Amino acid sequence: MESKIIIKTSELTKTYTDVAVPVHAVNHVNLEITQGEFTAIIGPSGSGKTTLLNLIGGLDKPTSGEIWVDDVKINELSDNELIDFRLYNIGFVFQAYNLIPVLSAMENVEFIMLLQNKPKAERQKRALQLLQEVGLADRVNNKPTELSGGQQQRVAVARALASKPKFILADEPTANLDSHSTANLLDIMERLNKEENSTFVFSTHDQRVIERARRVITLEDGKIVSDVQQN
Amino acid sequence: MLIKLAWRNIWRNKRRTYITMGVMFFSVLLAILMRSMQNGVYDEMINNVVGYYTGQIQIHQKGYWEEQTLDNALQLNDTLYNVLENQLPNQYTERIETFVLAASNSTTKGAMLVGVNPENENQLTHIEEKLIEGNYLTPEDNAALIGEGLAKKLKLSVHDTLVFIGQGYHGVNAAGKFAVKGIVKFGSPELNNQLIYIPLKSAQEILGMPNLVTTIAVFTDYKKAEEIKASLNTSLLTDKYEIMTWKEMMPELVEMIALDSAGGILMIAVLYLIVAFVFLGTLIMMISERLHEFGVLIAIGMKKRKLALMVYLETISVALLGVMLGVVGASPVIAYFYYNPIRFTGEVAKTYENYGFEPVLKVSTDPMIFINQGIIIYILASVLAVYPILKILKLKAIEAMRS
Repeated sequence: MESKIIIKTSELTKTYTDVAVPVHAVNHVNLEITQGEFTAIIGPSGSGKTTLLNLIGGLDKPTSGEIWVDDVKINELSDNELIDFRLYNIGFVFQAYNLIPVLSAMENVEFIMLLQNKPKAERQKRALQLLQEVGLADRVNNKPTELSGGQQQRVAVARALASKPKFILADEPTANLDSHSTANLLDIMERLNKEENSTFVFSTHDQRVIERARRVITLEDGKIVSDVQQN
Repeated sequence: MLIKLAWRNIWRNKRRTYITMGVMFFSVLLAILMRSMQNGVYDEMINNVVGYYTGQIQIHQKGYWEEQTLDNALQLNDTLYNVLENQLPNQYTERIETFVLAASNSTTKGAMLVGVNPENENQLTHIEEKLIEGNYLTPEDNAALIGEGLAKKLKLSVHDTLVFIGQGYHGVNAAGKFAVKGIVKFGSPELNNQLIYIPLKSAQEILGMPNLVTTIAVFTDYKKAEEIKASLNTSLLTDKYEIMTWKEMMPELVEMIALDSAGGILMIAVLYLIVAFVFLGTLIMMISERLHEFGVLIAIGMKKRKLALMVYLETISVALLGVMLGVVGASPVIAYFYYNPIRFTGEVAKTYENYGFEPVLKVSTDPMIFINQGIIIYILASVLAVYPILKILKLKAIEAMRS
């Protein structure tokens, strides 16, 4: 069965004009990502990886071009519509984890479902299940400051999955992690990708991540210079 | 969870929260204390000035206040007494007030003759306590009480004879001869130098006005004056009687209090202005510290208005906690000064005593003072909370996350 395209960009361009010389951070990018992909976007610093993820995630507006998520042309949505769209369709994992410091691991995962107005029982059940899946069943009541970097990032992955998004965008998810935590996190993401058919798109410099990705897109100067499927 | 989150956020930076609440606490405490003392002074002033003689309400024949002559006297009747007895039992006294020329063996002087119901008058204005010589009047006496200043001018003492001459009702000649039964010392020099009290019956006979009085003075809580006036207005014929509150009879006192109060309010306003700047500083600091976090929350799908509500709850909670602590902290202080008022000594005390006032600085325990401070801080915090709300509503997730 053919996989469904869930992200599509067409001639996507982002140009920063508020600098002396205009910078084309993303330059006429055409890209399709299908359901269940485990894709790494790589490239040197300044190649436009983060900008591309921000555009796909509806966090930034393109200068020109189109971004489709399923059947929704998200570059035409208003700021408020985008917030709602992100809540129900996109999961985010950030380099610096960005968990809510005053909430426990469990509450952090629940929070996103709270924003979706899910009932408490459902929230708690799913949050606990996700934390079990990322191997943190015994740390549910710990605050982020009581967790290691790797553990925090696993909570962030659980949080990203909690809203049952169409795909997860992870911006340099392993940049702050040691090798053991990186391997552990990749195992979890890979397993969730395979078992739940979750789509992961991450930007990375990390060779360990690149090796595990099944598709590697290389960006240079805002353009896709290679797009390789890996086994 | 939004409330839980807001509450926990308050305690993220405990030192900042304690400092903000501390500022609120001390300013509310100070504002309540200042206002309570100021209102306490006004209460005393009104009670002393109004309660001393005038009364909080007066009932006259319509037109009397404009033209204060005996010809505008009020006819006493059962309807009037029924209303007074029903609504203000033991709180009113009838008077005839007129000016006469008083004389002794040696000299004459203009004086104010007041015919009073001795029992009611004493019960309400405590004249007997002001006696410095002689005895108080009975209703059947053919005697007079005179002010200490007047007694000195006329060189009169107890048992001497006081003669006066004046104009009675509708221009009849009025003259009287009374034994001085007592000498009273009033705090007000105005009253002290010209007041002559005689029993109402005698005054009515001499002035040729049986069953007539010029004034019915009502003594009640001055704060209820307007309410009582409204009630009397519905019970009495307003085209026949004029019912006036102390505010209408003593506009200069009202103006003086308003002027003084404005000064106090200005001081409190300056205090709150300082609080507002401290609070705003805290908010600006909080916003800049948490900008990245706000960006993340918007990125993951939290609506800006929900985020703004959370920050509003945080802001208001800190302010209200500070206010509550301030009110709780102020209560024992106010209670202490209420039961142990500051007592003046020296010249200040003498000045107070000369005017017949107790030389103490009392505090007001009016709950509205406490409530008002809470409302002011709530409004202040609500207005200041507009800053983070606007900041959040304008926030771009991506820019905030870069901060």
